Amino acid sequence: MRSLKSFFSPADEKAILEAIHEAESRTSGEIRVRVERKVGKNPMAVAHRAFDALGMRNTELRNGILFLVAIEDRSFVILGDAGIHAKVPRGFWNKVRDVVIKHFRQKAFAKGLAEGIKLAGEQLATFFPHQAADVNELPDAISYADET
Amino acid sequence: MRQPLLRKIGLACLLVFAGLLLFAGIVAGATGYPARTDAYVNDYAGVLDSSSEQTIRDLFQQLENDTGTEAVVVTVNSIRDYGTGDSTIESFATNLFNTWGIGSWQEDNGILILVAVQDRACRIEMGAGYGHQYDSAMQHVIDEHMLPYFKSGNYQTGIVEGSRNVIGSVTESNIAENIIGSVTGAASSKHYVFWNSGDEFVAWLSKYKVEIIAAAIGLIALSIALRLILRPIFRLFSSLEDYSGGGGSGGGSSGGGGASGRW
Repeated sequence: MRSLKSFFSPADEKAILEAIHEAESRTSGEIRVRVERKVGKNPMAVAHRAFDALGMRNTELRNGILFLVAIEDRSFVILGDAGIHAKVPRGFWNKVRDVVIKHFRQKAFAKGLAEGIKLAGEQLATFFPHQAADVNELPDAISYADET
Repeated sequence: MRQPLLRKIGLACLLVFAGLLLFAGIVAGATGYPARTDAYVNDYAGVLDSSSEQTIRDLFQQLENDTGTEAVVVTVNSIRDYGTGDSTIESFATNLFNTWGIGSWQEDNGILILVAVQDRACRIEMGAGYGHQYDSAMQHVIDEHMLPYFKSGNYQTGIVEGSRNVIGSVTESNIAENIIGSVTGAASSKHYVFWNSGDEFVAWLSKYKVEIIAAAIGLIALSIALRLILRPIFRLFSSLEDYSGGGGSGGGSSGGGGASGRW
């Protein structure tokens, strides 16, 4: 079975990581991307589990945002923690989802994620601006379900 | 009072289930595609010497570097050696291709050159990303650059020449002039060929028809049974709603929010 990592080309992976770096340079919030093979009928439940497993629940200000892609189910989830969820405008998550999926439908996976990360990063930067003493609480690398 | 009845039902269920497991076992035991041992050449039939293997490896390495296309040569004695249930070289090639996941996820640009020596059959299987654009060109490669050698038992040359010409076709370079002649006549043909009659396969099919039908029925019944049994169990344990396709905020344990959807 093909590794999930091979879903993204090196250039794709680089573009996604750059989007994460760029977004996180302006916020204390944390963004992570997780790739799954399948999520079944309840992608949100899988996203919650991944959120916990990746330690994203432990950010000081509860301002982590997870982008989860299930490539075989063609399913996408964006999940924000309580801190950021309380601040973003109504319908914000749906808006990001729609932007991401629009690109995914054209097989532009890296582009879709990068755009979504940018939008999420803007909200994070507004409500959780970067502080001098800010530490990058979580690794930025894409997390693959078959590697962890 | 109702206990005997219940017991009967229980016994019946048990028997049905055991039967299903048996059939499932037949089917499961029959999925033995060979493991991939090399990126470019997997010579299970042992017809290639090391210099031929190296030639093919170099060709495919070059192809991958230049175009990102992943090509693999596989030789087997017979597709029936693996008990996969595939009765034709086409289905064996398709399933092997998918089992190995040849080519990239997004481009679907893999190429499998499969030769079954004892079956006297070969197939060039191309990733879905190519559509049917190369079908006639591949037929031509098989007819002109592989079969003539295979017919005289020279598998080595046939496979090396086949590989070379497959690359030529997809990179539209050195054999372009060879292809043109065959395109019109064979536009709708598939890119496989038997150079012996297909009678052996038909014979095999009829010999094992009871097992094949039983396995198929067993598999269908088992999948229905599993669906019926597992669904309520999943429902029981799944406290969250079905978000698939919908939006909305996600409750769950985080107190956070999100959205999900499919593309």
